[in-house]
Amino acid sequence: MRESWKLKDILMIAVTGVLFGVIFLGATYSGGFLSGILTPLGMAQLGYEPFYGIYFMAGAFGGYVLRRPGAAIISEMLAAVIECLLGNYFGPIIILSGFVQGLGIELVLAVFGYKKYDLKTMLIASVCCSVITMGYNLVISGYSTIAPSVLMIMLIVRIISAMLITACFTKYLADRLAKAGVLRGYAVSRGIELQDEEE
Amino acid sequence: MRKSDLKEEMPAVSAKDISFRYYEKGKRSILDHVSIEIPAGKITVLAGSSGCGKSTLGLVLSGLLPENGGFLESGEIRLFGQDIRGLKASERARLFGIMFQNPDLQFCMDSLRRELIFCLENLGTAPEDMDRRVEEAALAFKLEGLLDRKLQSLSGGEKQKCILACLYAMDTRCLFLDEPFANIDPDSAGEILAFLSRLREEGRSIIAIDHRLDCWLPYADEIRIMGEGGKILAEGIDRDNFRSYREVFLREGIYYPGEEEASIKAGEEGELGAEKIPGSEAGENYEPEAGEKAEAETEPGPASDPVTDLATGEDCEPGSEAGKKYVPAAEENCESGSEGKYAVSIDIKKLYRREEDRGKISGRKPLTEDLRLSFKKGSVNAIMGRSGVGKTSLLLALLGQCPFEGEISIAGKNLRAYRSRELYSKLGIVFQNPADQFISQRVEDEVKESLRHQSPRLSEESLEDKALELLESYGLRRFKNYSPFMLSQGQQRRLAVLSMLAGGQKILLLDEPTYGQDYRSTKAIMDQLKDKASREGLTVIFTTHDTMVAARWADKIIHISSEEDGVPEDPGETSDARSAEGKTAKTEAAAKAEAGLLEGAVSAEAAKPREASDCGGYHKIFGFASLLNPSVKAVTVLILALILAFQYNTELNISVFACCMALTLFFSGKRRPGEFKILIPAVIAAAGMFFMGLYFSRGQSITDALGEGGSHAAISYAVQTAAAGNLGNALALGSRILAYAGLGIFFVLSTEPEEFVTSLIKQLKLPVKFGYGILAALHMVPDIRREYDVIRLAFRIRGVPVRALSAKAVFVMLVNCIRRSDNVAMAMESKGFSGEDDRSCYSRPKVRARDLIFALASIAAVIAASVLGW
Repeated sequence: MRESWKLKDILMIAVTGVLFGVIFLGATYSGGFLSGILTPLGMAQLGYEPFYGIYFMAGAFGGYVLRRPGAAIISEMLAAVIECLLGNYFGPIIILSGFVQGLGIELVLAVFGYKKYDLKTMLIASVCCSVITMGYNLVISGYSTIAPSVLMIMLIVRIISAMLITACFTKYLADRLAKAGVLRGYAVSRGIELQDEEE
Repeated sequence: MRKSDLKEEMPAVSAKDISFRYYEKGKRSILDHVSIEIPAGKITVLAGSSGCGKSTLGLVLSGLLPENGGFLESGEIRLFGQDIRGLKASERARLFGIMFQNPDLQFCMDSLRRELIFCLENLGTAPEDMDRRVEEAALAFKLEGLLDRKLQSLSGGEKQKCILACLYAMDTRCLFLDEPFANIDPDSAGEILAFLSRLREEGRSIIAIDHRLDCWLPYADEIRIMGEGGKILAEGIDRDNFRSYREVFLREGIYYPGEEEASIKAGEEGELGAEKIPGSEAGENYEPEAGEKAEAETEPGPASDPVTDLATGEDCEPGSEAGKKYVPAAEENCESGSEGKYAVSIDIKKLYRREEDRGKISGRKPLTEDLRLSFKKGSVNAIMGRSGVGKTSLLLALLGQCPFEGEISIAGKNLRAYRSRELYSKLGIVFQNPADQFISQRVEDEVKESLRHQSPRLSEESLEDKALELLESYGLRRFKNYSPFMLSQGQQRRLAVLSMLAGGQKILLLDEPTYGQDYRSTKAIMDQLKDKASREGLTVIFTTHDTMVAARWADKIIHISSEEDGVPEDPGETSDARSAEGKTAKTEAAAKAEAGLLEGAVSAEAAKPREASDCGGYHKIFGFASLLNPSVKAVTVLILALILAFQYNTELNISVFACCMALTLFFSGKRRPGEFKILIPAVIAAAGMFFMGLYFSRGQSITDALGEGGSHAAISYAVQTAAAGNLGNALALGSRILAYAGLGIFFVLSTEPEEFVTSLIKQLKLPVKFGYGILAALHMVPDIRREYDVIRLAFRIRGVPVRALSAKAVFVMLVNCIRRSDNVAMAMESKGFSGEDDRSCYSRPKVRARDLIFALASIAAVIAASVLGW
């Protein structure tokens, strides 16, 4: 790491993490509802899959905005710590999940040398993240004992969700924020022309 | 602590040739070759119009900028003779402390005691001295009672005092105050001024920036006027010679104290007022200036002229002496007039805080009681009263967003009979934070959207022309391509008012419309509103702390008071308040006897714990489990979870879950029954996992079994074996989720976030910056929730439908959150926080023998159980 983390970077990531956490709580409830409907069919876990893209957002947002090594992992873990402190019933184990999710995005950003941040990179990152977290679920959630065909369906839904939300929506949000001038001083704003006064 | 030994010859601040810009390629520098020297041990006030770079100057002087953004192109800054480039954050904090404009955005911790300790730790104060210094600081500002209250439950004025207490505790030599009185009531302002002059006597230097000078005049040693680019236009102004600078004040659009003082006097002294103000018999009709009056009269208002109308004095005029019981008969009298005369009439028995659960308000303490008011069509009305008395809630109640008992009618129709869409076509509101209500990405579009909403048939060109014309009249045209979020506070507010007015609503509510505005923009906004009121019959209701604004522009001033106002406060500077009361329509709750007061205090006390638990999302925890070191607990829980991940042992899972629940129930202190709601989603998740295992276990899925079976008997056999095999797996999977949840719930319910984070820093070497960053973010959660609510409301009022989760609202929320975090980060740094190792630590959570025993015992038990195959 060339520059050390500034307090404002950390706070920005933590606060956006909180925001994603609080606002998307609604989404998680919808996931719970959907999975409740699917439970008698044995597809309960599928109900959560469309919302996975949201869980990856903190890492993708942090990585995309700060553009430096470690940003994605740290952002995702920060969000996880905060979620744990706010009372997620899985407790400290979600910090581990946060690490794995952040890793999924971080790997791809690192492969591109932390230089390319276009939509393609973000899409690849979101796919990578989906695959890696599925691997994590195989161990931690015991998915390894589930029929592979079902897992494939789940993975596909997860990938689609991640591509739409984690890649496209996150990038769109961050770019809009940069254009609105609130991200000045963060790496994402470099090279963005801000509108000036009309004389 | 005392400053008498300081050498005072050195200037507190000396800056040479500073040039600073926020944008690399921006066309202008906000500070353009500024040189300034400010003497130590004095109160120096910098006045200047909005956006002239006053706040930026403070941030640059403190070294927070360019460290947190922007570009310093030239310049050298010395604080008490020391170049700031060579100083650490903690050293700078001792020399120069900032009190930021918005009191909500500068705390890292959740109570004053914790915040003070945080500050002292940053300076490396010895832990054994901390308690004493915390007490001293609290005592100095009379905050002893608030030390352990949630900061969020304090009023704006109290928060400002808390910040002063922090600066005091840190022994900061120069205090920079950024518009300290912008959103606090005059009483609190008076108190703070008294504190400041005491600090000066102790030898500290005070620099304040403000648009308003009247309250500073008696205290300031020197006033300077700043112009565009941060240039000092005039200096050496004080209470004796300010009259000769009148021209500079007016040119720069700053309140000129002399003239305003005259109008205060007019209100204060009855006879003088009567002489100066025609038609003041009504007591609530205040006609400010001859010029203004003439203006109002020459305008051919289609509606009856509000000024003369009110002067007849037939409007509700309650017993005018303070403390006298309200006379309902008077109200009855005026309501018997024409029905259509009032845009809004209010008869509220009890008004509650917005956050109150609507179902359960009956036992709660209302914010205020027995409000009976009515607002005439085409009138401008000011609502005043101390912070927290319910001014904002009253406005929200008009929008149907605040629970109340009683009746409100709007345009002659009961509020409860309105559909919200219809209501919002009649009522508009501009919120305290204007950035909550922008619905588009360009300043021009912002106005166009409202115009389009009002008249959908207009062509795109005429919309644009109209929008530009409106922007021009508000001095915003040159920013038309900006994102609304890039504007300064003052500009944002003007834009919010403008776009609300463009929506065509006939009643406009404004929450502190002139907060943070200089005289020029205040006048621009208020004149425009007044004009709209007399020309088009717009009814304006605004809240304000600014007596001058109320006196000058309002036809009617309502002073809301609560029984708490009866408690004598520090006398301070209350002249402002009194002058307002002289001409208010007082809506006083019945004077409470001493017993009643006591009762009020008790019930407020009773309401507190509930509030506290709502605010932080956590609570005090006692009991054995909570005494364990949080880091050890977290690591133990993680290890246990990982062991379970490699076991398919239903009995083990179930017993882990049972043990965790037992520990939580019996060993982590008193539990509230509601907390166990957390189990519901856990059980649902476990059930989901169970069914999934039952149907889709690897190689055993029921469909596979069906496909293989040729005959009827074979099918039933296959299904049976598959189900039997799957059942074991399903139980293992479902129970594992339950076990994870048990571990998680045990941890979450027995751990306090603050302690967890402190221990993460100490035991697991989490960098301090991350630790406190997490805490600061965590403490923002309740504010973020509230703000998201406000944003959605604002969107609905502006005719943009929003669901619970709307990308547009999320975007606005994100903008506000980032602003918030930038601000808090700077506030933390200004308190000497740098994340370096020179901090001291007040409480050091230790790893004790019992922690290790607990960890080893539980891990050993689980391993033993799984090895022995239970």
